[in-house]
Amino acid sequence: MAATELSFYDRISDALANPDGQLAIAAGARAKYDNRARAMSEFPNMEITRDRARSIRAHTLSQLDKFLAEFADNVEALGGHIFWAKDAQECNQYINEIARAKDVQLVAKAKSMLTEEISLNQSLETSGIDVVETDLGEFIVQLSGDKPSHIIAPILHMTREDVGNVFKEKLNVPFSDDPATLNAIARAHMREIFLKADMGISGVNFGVSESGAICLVTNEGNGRLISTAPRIHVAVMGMERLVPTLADLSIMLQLLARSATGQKLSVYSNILCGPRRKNEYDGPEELHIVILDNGRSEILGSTLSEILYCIRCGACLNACPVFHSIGGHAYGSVYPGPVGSVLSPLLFGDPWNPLPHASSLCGACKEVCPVDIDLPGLLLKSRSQQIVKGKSPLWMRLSQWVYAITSCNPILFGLALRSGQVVSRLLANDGWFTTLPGPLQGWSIHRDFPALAQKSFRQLWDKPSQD
Amino acid sequence: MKRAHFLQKVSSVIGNRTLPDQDDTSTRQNALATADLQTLMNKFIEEANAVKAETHLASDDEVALETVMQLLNNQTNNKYMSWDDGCLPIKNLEQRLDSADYLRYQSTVPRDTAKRTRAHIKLAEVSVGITGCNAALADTGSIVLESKPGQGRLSSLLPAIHIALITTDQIYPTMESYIKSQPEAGYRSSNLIVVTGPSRTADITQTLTLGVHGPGTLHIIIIDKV
Repeated sequence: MAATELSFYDRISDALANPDGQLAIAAGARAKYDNRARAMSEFPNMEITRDRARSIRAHTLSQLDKFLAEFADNVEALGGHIFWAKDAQECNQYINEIARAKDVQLVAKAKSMLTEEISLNQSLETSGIDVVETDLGEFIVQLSGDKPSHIIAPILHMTREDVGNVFKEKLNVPFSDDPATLNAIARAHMREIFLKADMGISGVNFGVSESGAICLVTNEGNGRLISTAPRIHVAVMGMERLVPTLADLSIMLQLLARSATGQKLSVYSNILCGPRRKNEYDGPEELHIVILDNGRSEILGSTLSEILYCIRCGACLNACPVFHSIGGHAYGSVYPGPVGSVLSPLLFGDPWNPLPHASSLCGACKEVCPVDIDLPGLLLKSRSQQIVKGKSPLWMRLSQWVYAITSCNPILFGLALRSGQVVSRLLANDGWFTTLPGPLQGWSIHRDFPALAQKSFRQLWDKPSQD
Repeated sequence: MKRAHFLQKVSSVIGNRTLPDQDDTSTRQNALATADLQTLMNKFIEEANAVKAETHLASDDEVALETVMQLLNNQTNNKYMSWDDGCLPIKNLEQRLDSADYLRYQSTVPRDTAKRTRAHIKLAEVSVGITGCNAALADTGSIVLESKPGQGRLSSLLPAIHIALITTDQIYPTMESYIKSQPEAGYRSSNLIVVTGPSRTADITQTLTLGVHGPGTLHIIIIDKV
């Protein structure tokens, strides 16, 4: 993924300057948060199931090489093709090659953050292939030339008027802001694409090692259509996305649906086992599964490997107060929110280093995570690794250097304390600074900063009061 | 990239291999696991209705047939597609519908590319799809369909209305219990689909809308077989 031209802080300022978008995002995320909370409270033995899900993910990753080999063997035994892709380029090149060899003109795509991560659409379009996103939200994103702002609700940032205007302009239909009408227009428009597409492309929610099955979860049914109607189905799977057994899958599916939208199960939990078989009435003639590394093996070997437990439900985005305020676009990554703040610097590099700092470490994300990922802990680790590697901003390194010297020297520390007390006495108002100078202004715009106590702890310690 | 290289890289980075194997004893207990059939059926109906599927009870095959006829009666055209007769829980559906002038579209899709697209476009005219099911799940109100010969995927996917015929003895308490009793269901056909209600989206301002790409109406006819 290419870095955007604006800095993270500029993008945040832009997001905060758009109250309509901010309201849409906060309302949408809160609704999803509430739906999840209700669904979880009704889930029998929720905590036990969550622990189980976590142990399934940990177990899978601890033997990922074994499970990947088993999965690939089973897919090939079913007549599917496996391609091992080191990075985005290898993956895109392989899919382009199949498309060329099989004379593919039109591709129907189901929503997949992984294909966003590797810019697959752009790669195919450069080769002259038409690619149509079929998830309603992604379709609208594609029509308007926008980017998804949430991993499961791509147009969380748009109002219904926005969508009506996009349809009016791009599809030449009368303006409507009624979701049902807009939906009917999209259904009619997309029908022909499903029926004529030569290739369907999807991500993979889960691969099942014991059978070589892949599972696609959708509510709309587009995942079923693109894996049934086109003669070729290509599924791109992040290498960490396995579960060992079908029984494990059933646990994951229930947690995924409840965490993502508050449903007990998504409408279509679609388990695909190889291409169409002899005597079956329909289904794709060919199935290609691309297993993609793209930086994941480095993460697996790092101290942040727990982030690979993620099942992409989006619950941590919906719970995050920072996400509520700045929305998904400000993160400048396909993966926004708490999970994205950990993943993006690992997958995309230094330009995304500011992301882990956009958190108050309140822990709401950990609380809602269906596999109990310690997101605040990972955010802290990510920050500290930047410092160890000397990748933190200059001002932060300088101030930490000054602090380290001062606090190691009792005389300097005492002096700093005294001058702080003098400044506090002169400038603070009733024990509080209401405005701070220069770069510290950001703090005091929305809240006051406490002044230093006129007697420090050390002074009190030296001269205990008489009573 | 070569498989061996890919897996070698993964092997080399895995640090801790000593994690405990999965502990099956922690599987959640569900009160439904020991429930009687009536309780299961009530729960199934409650949950299916909660996800906006419409349920119909049929005391025998004849009542089920009549329900199908009634549902078809409201349609704008007389075309339908379905699973083969032998895969449905009631006999002679095709014959009965045939005599009432309903036209069954052949749902086998040719493997040849050009013919395939033509077949798809023709099938898109159909307004109703009729299927059986392989299992029903009480705690989520879901139906489970396998794509065996005679049981095409498109019948439950392409038409705007899906009518599923299920029998009371097909209701399992949970997905876990179904998988436990039918472990081979996960790989004996190319597609196992768990359907929980009609197609839906809430992408536009979180407003629930039915029938995006899959059927917007799902009728489940429950036939008493006990």
